[in-house]
Amino acid sequence: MNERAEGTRDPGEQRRLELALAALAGLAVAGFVVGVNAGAGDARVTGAVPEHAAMPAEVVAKAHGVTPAQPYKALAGMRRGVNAAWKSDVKLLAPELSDRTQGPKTPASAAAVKQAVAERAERRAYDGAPPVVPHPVQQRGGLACLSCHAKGAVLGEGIERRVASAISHPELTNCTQCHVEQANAQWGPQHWPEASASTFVGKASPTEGPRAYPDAPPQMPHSAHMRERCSSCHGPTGPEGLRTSHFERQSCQQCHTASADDDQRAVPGFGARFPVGAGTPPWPAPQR
Amino acid sequence: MSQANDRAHPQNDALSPADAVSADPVSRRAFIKLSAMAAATAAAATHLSDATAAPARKGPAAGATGVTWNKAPCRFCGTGCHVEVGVDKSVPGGKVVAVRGAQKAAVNKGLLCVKGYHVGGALYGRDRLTTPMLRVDGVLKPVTWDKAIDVMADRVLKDPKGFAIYGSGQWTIPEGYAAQKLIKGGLSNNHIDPNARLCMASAVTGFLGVYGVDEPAGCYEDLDAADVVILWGNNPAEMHPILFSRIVDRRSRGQKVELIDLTTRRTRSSDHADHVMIFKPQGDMAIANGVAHLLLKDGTYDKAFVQKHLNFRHNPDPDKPSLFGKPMTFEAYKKALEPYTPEHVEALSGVPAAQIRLLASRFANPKLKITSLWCMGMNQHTRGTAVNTMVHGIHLLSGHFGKPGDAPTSLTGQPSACGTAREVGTLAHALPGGRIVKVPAHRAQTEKLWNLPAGRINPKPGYHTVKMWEQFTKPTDKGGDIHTIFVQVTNPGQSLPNLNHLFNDKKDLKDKFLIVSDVYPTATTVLADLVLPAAMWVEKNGVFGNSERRTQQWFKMVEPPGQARDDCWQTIALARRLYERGHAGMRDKDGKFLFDIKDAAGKSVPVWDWAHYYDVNVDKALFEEYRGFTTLKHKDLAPYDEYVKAHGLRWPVVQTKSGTWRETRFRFSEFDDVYVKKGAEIDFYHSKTKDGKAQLWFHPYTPPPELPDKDYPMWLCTGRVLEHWHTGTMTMRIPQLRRAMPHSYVEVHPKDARKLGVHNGDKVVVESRRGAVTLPVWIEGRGAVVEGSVFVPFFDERGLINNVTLHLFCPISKEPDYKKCAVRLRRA
Repeated sequence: MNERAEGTRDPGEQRRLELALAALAGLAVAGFVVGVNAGAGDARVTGAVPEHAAMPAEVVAKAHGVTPAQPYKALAGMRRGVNAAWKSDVKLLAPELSDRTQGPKTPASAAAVKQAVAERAERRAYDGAPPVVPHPVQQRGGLACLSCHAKGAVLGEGIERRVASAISHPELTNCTQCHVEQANAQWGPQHWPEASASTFVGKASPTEGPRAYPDAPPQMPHSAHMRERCSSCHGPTGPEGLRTSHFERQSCQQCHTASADDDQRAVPGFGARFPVGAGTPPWPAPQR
Repeated sequence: MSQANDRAHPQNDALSPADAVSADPVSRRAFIKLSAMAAATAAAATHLSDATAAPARKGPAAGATGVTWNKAPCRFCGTGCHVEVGVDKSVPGGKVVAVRGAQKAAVNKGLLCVKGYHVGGALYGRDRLTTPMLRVDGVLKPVTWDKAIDVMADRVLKDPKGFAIYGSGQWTIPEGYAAQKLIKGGLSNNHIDPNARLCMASAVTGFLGVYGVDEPAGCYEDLDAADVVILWGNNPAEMHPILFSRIVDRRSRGQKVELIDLTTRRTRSSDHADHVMIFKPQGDMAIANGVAHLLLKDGTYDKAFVQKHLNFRHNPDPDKPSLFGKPMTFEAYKKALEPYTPEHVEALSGVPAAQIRLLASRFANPKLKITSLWCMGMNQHTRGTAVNTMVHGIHLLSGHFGKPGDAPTSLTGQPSACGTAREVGTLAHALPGGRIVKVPAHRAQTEKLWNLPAGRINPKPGYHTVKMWEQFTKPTDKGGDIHTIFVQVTNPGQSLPNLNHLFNDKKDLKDKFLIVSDVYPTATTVLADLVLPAAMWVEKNGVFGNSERRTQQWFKMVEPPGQARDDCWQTIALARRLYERGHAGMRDKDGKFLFDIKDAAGKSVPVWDWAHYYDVNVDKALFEEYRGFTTLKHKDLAPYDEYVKAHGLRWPVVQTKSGTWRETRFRFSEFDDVYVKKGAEIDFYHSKTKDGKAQLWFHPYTPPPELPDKDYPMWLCTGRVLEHWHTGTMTMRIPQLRRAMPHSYVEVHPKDARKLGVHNGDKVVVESRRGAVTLPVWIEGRGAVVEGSVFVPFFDERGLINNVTLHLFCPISKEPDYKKCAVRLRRA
């Protein structure tokens, strides 16, 4: 084998390849025939008549054998329902989070939100600032921070309990570029006081996002840029006031939209403040 | 009134308790109480330890409503990140309440560093200077702006030849341009220099010596394409974090980029490096020669590139070096490098021969793309010009030039070191747009553009930074012929080297007068006779130019506090006062005022009157005037309004046939630079030899001027830390940054600490032949020094390491060496 020049094939291998190709062709033909016949004569799909306008949703649903759509308000009471085909088992979804898998069933109280927001604000100069690092950093090697913050971790119990939030952007490895330590191992808080000589007042943290109407899912009140992992704050290990009441749902942006303005996604020609012109790829060739 | 006086005295200021390092909590509490009592405003002084206390004013509500966003470049380093500044307009005058990285900005793509994210806080230190103050009987007392401008005019008219302006790379382009015009076109004495002289002058002379024209040919896109990035005495993980993460984050995307760290001490950048090569101070010269030696010996240099694009040069008499030297043959060049075998280089630099071979093997491989980065390590160097040309040299010799990813690139420290100091040319020998005062044609062109009578511009260069301050702190009767220095946007009382020689002597000289425009009390205002409160950053319009030739514009977004006013206005107001009092230099050849700024209808606007300064966009008017200077060296700028629309544009910005403006990313490369001759591939069209070729220099290794000896047995290196920039006057007033790094320290090797018998936090005296400073020890702290050397960051005005440093400088660039001198340590 080793002496044979590259590009030639041994005869056995060639035969096997031909057989495989023939089988594949056969399957494709069969699949096509089955496919075009499927669904033929299915009146429930093709024969739907829009007579439901004046009828209650349940009646329409029963007549057509489908599950009625529910208002968002009603979902809170319904979504954990069990049927023959599906049984809720959050433990299977996120076994590592077993200590809090049940989570809150109702949205957090206003007081809890307020407390969570205040705690959050302590670690940020303004809403949107990268949080400061509340513990000493002894960084040796770019991955040091990720040993706790890659997946997130809960350390200690009771009043000692600390949560290392999972980072949304582990691909950015120079962590201390943005996150500044506030508990330098060498110089403790006794060296801080004069820093209060600042009158800077930061943008306040939001307590909730805007809603289109009372029961609508709120829009994200903050940028999603570098904060795509919602569960870091809103998941079961997040502070009570930020925790979602339905954390078994994994696709947050399905219902909670991000703000184009917060995310700086304004499109040129559609009211962008800085139209993208020169200085943006692709660059034309130089004209001489 | 006494409160106002206190503000200008750092020793009375919150930032500057006489010995904050020792930090007696009782006296500090008493001190804070006193400060709080003295505070004129009703706002209570909050204690930092009480961080959860509600602020006096609530920030605006969440979401986009309530906050207006606009673009500005960050005002700290030379990277030139674009930030979006969130302003709460519901407060009178507006307040900056948030900052976010501009996602569409090509420089930073939505990211910032710790300083950038907190740059808004720089405006809101409680002790902002808000009123002009004049020293009367030793005490600074508030005066009106009118009086302040009068005092300045008096100082000029006393003897216009001895009036100097000292600025920095933090000047916006229009500010620097106005100061330049006042000194060179108005006072005709050429005594203007920026503190960029202390920062990147050697990079300038390096570029001039090699390419005949200043500034890097490459750009930040090189960092996306390079296979190998070499850091020459550079720690971008802390100093240019955005550029550093642009390199290392590529690894997260599965790309391979090899990082080689040439350094004298391990840093946060070393933590990410594939190869850390630790060299002795000055060893960089030997290493560069060692690489060139191997390329020549092994025949792995790029023969076609050498043939087509290079000439060879040297300084035959190393004691009398000049910027352009003398030609030499390739054979002579080769012979000169013969002694620099890897083993010899190891002896000179301390870097093992095997590592020298490894480094050379990268340059020998034409398939690799290699980018070199450097900043203060190579610039603050008594052989700064030489070592700059040598690193360009090995890139050229090996052909690693002019393709994306193949670039020798120097970085800058200040936000507009390139845009203002280098391009506007606010240097003692320069005129705008790459011109110099010595060249008659350049003077004539400048006089024409400024509409001045022929002969107005003085052909004799003014004093460079070190000389200027020497002449200022020398008594008049001993030849000290600078009687007044007007300092804008910089803090020489902290940043000059060897302060006891260059600054502190001013104290006893009654006839010398120091004018300081600044935003906070600083080490410089301590000795100031007149203090002017300045507007900063988004409190004014501005234009900066960053390290990759990118010119960036922003608009004023908030009102400055109290009576603080723009530096550019201060310059124009002084010029107008001189005009009114009959100084002939303030008129052009038609008798019109030097800064005759017109509105859209063509009517002159009295911009020297603050009430009318913003009736018209003065920045735009000055920028459009300055544009006329920029084509000589093919650094063409677009009209001001093009920059309003963009997150900066890299010059030359050339108009296309369809009327749009096209920036240039890769200068001297045919595929991107319109000024390259067709078919030339690479064309150094400002070549000193006028043949389109660059100059490849030979410089011998020379030892540093001061070496550790019996009395002063250790090396001292000074530098910066991630959290603080410039002299810490702004960053030390930002709580998040200050908490992270509350004061200076001396980084000591564990073995040296053991010898001294000191532990972390113990105080030691670091002393040289020139001065001493007491600092706490940090063993293996932020970085890790090698045995026998110490490192001290220079940001802390309470521990001025520049009382210790050397003021010897590169003979060509005149940039001092802050990176190596001999010191000794003893327990305090």
